Amino acid sequence: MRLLLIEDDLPIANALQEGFSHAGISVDHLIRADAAESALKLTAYDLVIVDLELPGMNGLELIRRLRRKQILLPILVLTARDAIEDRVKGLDTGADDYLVKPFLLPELLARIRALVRRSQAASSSDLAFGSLHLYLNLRTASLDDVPLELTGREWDVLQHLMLAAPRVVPKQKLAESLGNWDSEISPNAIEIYISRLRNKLSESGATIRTVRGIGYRLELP
Amino acid sequence: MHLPSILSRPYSLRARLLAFLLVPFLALLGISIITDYQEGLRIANEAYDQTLHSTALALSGIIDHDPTDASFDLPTQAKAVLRFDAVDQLYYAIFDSNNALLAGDARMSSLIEEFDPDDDNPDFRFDVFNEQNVRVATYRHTPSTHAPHGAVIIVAETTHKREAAASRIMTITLLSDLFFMVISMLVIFVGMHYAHRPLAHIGQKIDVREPDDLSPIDESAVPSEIQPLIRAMNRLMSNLREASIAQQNFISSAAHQLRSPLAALQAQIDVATEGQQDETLRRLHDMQVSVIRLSRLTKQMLALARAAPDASRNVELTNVALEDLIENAASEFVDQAVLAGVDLGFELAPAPVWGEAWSLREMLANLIDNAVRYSGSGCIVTVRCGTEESGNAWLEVEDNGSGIPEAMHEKAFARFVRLDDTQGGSGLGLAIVKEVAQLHHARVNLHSAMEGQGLRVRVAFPPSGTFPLPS
Repeated sequence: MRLLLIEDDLPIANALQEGFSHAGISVDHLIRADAAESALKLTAYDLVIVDLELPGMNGLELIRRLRRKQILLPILVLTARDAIEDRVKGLDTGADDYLVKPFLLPELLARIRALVRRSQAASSSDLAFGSLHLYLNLRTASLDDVPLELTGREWDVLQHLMLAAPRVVPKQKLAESLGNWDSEISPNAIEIYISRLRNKLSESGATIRTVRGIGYRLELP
Repeated sequence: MHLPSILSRPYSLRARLLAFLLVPFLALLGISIITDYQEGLRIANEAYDQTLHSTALALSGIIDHDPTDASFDLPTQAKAVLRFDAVDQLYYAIFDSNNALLAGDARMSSLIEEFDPDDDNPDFRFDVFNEQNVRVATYRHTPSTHAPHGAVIIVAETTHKREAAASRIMTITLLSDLFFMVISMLVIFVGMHYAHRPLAHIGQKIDVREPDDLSPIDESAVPSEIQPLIRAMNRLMSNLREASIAQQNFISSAAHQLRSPLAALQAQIDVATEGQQDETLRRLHDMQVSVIRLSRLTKQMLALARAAPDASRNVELTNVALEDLIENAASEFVDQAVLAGVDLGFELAPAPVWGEAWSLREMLANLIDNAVRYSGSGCIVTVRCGTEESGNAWLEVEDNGSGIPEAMHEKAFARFVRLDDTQGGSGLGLAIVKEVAQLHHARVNLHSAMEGQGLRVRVAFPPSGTFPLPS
């Protein structure tokens, strides 16, 4: 995985670069947004992290330009402003997610992985979560490169959890999106699928957490 | 200048005005009583004098018609009429030009006065006769054929009638003037009461304001007399408002400025922790805890500054479905709960609220943060929302931790009050909850948890859309 980080605050940028390399992510760092476009032309990045408050061209302007050029790679915004208007502005302009400073490194890493996971699923039909892989075209799965036996419903549930992670997937929404005109799926049935999935994933390290009253969340230790 | 102490105490404008009015009023009343009495007396005297005059003229007629002698006598009956009336004695005498009695009472010679050409004819005066107060009319008869040297006719009447009239006039004057005065004072008093109503009304309007409502009072709606006062108050309030906004802006900008260095510090510590062991790891961990706490405090200060009703921002109210808001934000709360070893659960029913999404979310975050932080590992925290039958939406966060003693519930809302020093909270959480609730006209109540142990914080919203937009 390779990221482009555009951040003018050097202590932050240095720490992030080090943190990313520990996590096995390679990163290129820019201080100004002006150079970003040419960097993106030269290298195929998986994700761009951009600070909103930059000298010269600001982060929002850069996002607007990239999106106008149909550059669709995921963009994560870092900002010291957390007013709701800034959030909405950032997401409207075309950013995929935002994180307000100060943040915890693990949180940033989780967001990056989730964004990359979703974008790769869209482009390569391969959805990865730790050692767990879902092949969207074939509707099959593997764990540590060993094929994982899943029923159709179990595969559907797992796909939803993997796409949403680290967000919680409401049980009601799972039931609604899995059901169709012919067959309604009850919340009880969802519980059964979850319980079977837990058994099948017990060796994977990934766990499905129940959030009482809402739904489920796929987690890595 | 030192005012008497009575003036430096709070005093009533109404009493002052009345007191100031009373003095000239009483003076005018006195003058009025005196002049009314004198005028009444004068008119009464004139009327009675007219009668005396007629009597004198009648006597002169007798002289004129007596062809034989200047000395004559009146018939006894006429004498009786002349001398008698119900209350007063009447005396008469006629003297010739040499003061020789022609007819009547001889004792009346004592009443003859030197002739003065300036005197009226008849001339009236008060005198004493026969040891009684009398009114005396002196009529000088011009010489005629029967009395070639002229005659002086003197008629005297006791003054009982006049005294009775005088006292009656006095009574009437006093009574009518007093009546007039009492009615006037009453009218003034009532009038002043009505004139003061706008004052009381404005006082009331200021009284029921929210403590942080610094909006100006409408100057056009107040009487012109107190407009300068209202204008001065408005100026004061606008200064306060500006100061308050400046303070909010300062806090907000300071919090913003703190964010980047904090982010750097936090990221550096996160990275430095890797691969460390023992003492260094413990130190770095302590640093990390402090930085996280500092970050949280900064976020809360910013939230509090921004949620304050007078902060310079636009409040954008929309229909917010609390259950969706909670569901969408659940992930981030779950992380914190997992770290704290708390079982965080939700019981969500539809709860539509007319409000501001980000501040409601901030409130929720602080409620959950408080519950998770203060209940501790192994505890259960449950977030509920729903709508009462009356249509009022509500939000509740309950924990089964150690709770807050009922006596401390009010105190828990104050800023920077930490009821338990060991948990590392900033003490700002409930203050933010309170501000956001105020913005939404919602009530926040602390209860003991339903299970008997722990704390239940309930936010009750007004029916959706029924409260006005904060100005």
